[in-house]
Amino acid sequence: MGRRLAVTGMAVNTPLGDTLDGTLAALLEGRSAVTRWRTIDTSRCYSKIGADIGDYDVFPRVAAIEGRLPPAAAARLRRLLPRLPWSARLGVTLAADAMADATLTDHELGDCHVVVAGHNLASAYAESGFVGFAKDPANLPIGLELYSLDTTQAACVSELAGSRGPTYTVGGACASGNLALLAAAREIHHHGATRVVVLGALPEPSPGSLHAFAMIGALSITSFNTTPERASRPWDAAREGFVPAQGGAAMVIEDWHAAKARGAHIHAELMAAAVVSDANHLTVPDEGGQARAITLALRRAGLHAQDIDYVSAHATSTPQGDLVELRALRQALGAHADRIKINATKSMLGHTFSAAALVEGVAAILQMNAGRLHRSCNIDQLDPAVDLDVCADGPVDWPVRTLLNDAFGFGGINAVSIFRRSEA
Amino acid sequence: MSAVITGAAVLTPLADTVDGLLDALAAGQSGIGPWRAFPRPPAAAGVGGDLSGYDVQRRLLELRTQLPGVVMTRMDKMVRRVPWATKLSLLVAADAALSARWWLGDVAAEDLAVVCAGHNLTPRYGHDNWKKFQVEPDYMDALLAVHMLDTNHAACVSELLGTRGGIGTVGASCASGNLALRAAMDELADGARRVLVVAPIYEYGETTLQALGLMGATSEAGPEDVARASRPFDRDRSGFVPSHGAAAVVIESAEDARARGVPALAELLAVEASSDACHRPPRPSPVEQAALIRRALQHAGLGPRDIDLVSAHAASTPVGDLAEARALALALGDEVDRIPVNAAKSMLGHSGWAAALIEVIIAIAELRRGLVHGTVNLDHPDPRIPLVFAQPGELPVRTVLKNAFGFGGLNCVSVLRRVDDA
Repeated sequence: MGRRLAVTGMAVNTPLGDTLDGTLAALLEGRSAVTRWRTIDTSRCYSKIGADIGDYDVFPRVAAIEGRLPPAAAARLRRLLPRLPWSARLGVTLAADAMADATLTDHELGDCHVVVAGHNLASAYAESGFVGFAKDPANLPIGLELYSLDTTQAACVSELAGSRGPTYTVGGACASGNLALLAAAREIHHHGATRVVVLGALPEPSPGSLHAFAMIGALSITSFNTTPERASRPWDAAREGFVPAQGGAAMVIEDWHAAKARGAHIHAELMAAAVVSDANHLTVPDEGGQARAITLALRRAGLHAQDIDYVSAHATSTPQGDLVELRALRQALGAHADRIKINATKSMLGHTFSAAALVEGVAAILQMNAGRLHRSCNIDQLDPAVDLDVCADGPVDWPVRTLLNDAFGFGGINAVSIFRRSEA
Repeated sequence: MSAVITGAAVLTPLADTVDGLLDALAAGQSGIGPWRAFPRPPAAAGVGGDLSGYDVQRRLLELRTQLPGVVMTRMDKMVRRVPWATKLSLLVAADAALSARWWLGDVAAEDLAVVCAGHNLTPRYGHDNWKKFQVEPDYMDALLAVHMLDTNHAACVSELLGTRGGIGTVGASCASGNLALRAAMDELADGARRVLVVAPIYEYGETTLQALGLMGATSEAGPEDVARASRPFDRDRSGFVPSHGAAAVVIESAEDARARGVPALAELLAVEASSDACHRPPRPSPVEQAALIRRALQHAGLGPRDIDLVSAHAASTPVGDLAEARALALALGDEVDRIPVNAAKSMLGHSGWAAALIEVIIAIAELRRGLVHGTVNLDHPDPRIPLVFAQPGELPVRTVLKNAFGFGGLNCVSVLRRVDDA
């Protein structure tokens, strides 16, 4: 149905690197991004560990990419960055990186639509406002309200592109990235867009939000505080919760024919995305809802279970969620589930919340194109209930034509995307 | 496919029924008063449309006699625990569902979707929990991790109505309400049969109002002058007046509505979005706004001559109101001398992300009843704004343009038409 969609630009930023090649190499090596938090004061939190890029300096990356941006866009990037707080500064840089990767001209940037995945992004920045307000209300930064809003990040990306196209945020908790891919598809299918810049913005964990997740028992807070690299261990018998992470990613989704016509490099084809609700606002992963999302995406893509070669799992390292997802895969894919490979990028990167589906979408496309899948790290003792191939033993050569990218959020929000290798 | 609105509900300082709201607006009543939700921050005027005293229990008692038992049970389980703003989302969504006779007709739960308009919805709840964290981290709301997420509004409404189709939030600052209608039309285009759109209350908060005050975005009118604080298009306007408000609508295809035997309240002809490519306010672009209005009319298959009423964004800011007037003149040409314009924010203040949806619902009531409201506090119309202002009273209107131009240069406008053969 509708026009075909090409991924013509990608960018990612995590503790494992801010380049595509570097990120893939680190994942295949099995390196962990998780450490004790350095840039968040966790003295009053149960949670002590995470993937930390709180002190990331954007300017070396800006210098590396700006030659591949149209000069006007590079100038706008330089003008924008000094104003922006952490999440927006890194987010706008990621968007610029994906635009550069897509080798878009100023004219082509000018008709982009912009979709930012995420909500409640700048929570640490907002908390700095609470601190400032308690000390001296008259001295609050003048832009506090503006830069506290998620939408400002979308507006900044639109300003960077010099684009007058529709610009907005979409939110679906930890599934937001896949909701943004769905929104991008709709911009092209229903709203005449030629290309859409999709930013998986970086959520900004604050001491308060870290503690909030610990209070509902969602985080790893007990066994791995002295060995943080071992804490995120999807499908391992000793897993105890997810590991919060800073990180983000961006993609340029483009009308296939427009991409071909301008001779763009195509990383992959976005076949479909789908989101369904469980009608349950709490944090109860639901096998049926996850399976329905997968089935709906397959139907939209015009594909069958047999077409899936590899699943980039949501797998956050929670006792319940990791197994529910495998059951959902079996329900949706049937016997074919025994013939696919599944891995958990969060075993190295931790959980980047609303950005996860885009971070892992980029990681999955890189693996597909390399024909090699990273291992799911830290599986010292496989949970005996795991009956599918979760890449526990090491990186593996595996030809992938079509991949499924899972993301399941709080509040019963199940969203998946499907990518296919772009044949030359 | 023709999309129609079959249910609508509002929760505003003036009224919590759609007809009551239009009656109050047509009578020129103001919902603006002293701000009581929390102590006035020093740079804030202490004036606003405040719903903090809204009687949730009374409304629940009313709903108890109307909602199906299973739905009321879900309501009772959730409403007790969720934060204040989420309680109001549940109430207004239930009200819109009742208005659309949600439980009539045979549609699978998988074909029902929820779209939530807005972002950063609960800064005050966040601030309150931060204060508790300073005292003792475990004093925070035990379900903060669930309740602090904007998506919780969508998820709670989905649970209330048992929807198992699409779900999510969309955000475009003050244009979010219109943008959510656009997202709902996308849901229908991709196979959903019915969509509930909810625009939760934007809470504001102490730091929000302080920062907006320091920025000079909000009205400088003091508590002695409450009803005169919001004065769109008037010479002496000084900024917007923060206000609480929530809204919800139900959207489906005209065919589905007819098949269910549910009358359409209005037809949603077009919703179009754009950006000014400039994130810093206040720099609204009349040229960009005008291009957007033209595009929306074109998508609706209409020209300026077909528009009978403009429901303006008009937040009462010096720069914004002027830019909007210029955009209307550019987009509508000579017709701008004919088409009446009204500004609901003159009486309701600015409810942030929900404002556009509240004003869409007011416009629908105007279409249906042939009754329009005016704009209060226009003592000295800005001489640079040569618009024709709607006089309150009976006026048959068939087609309305609803503008929304948000913080950060995010724009979205919608075009609605009366349904004559309902």
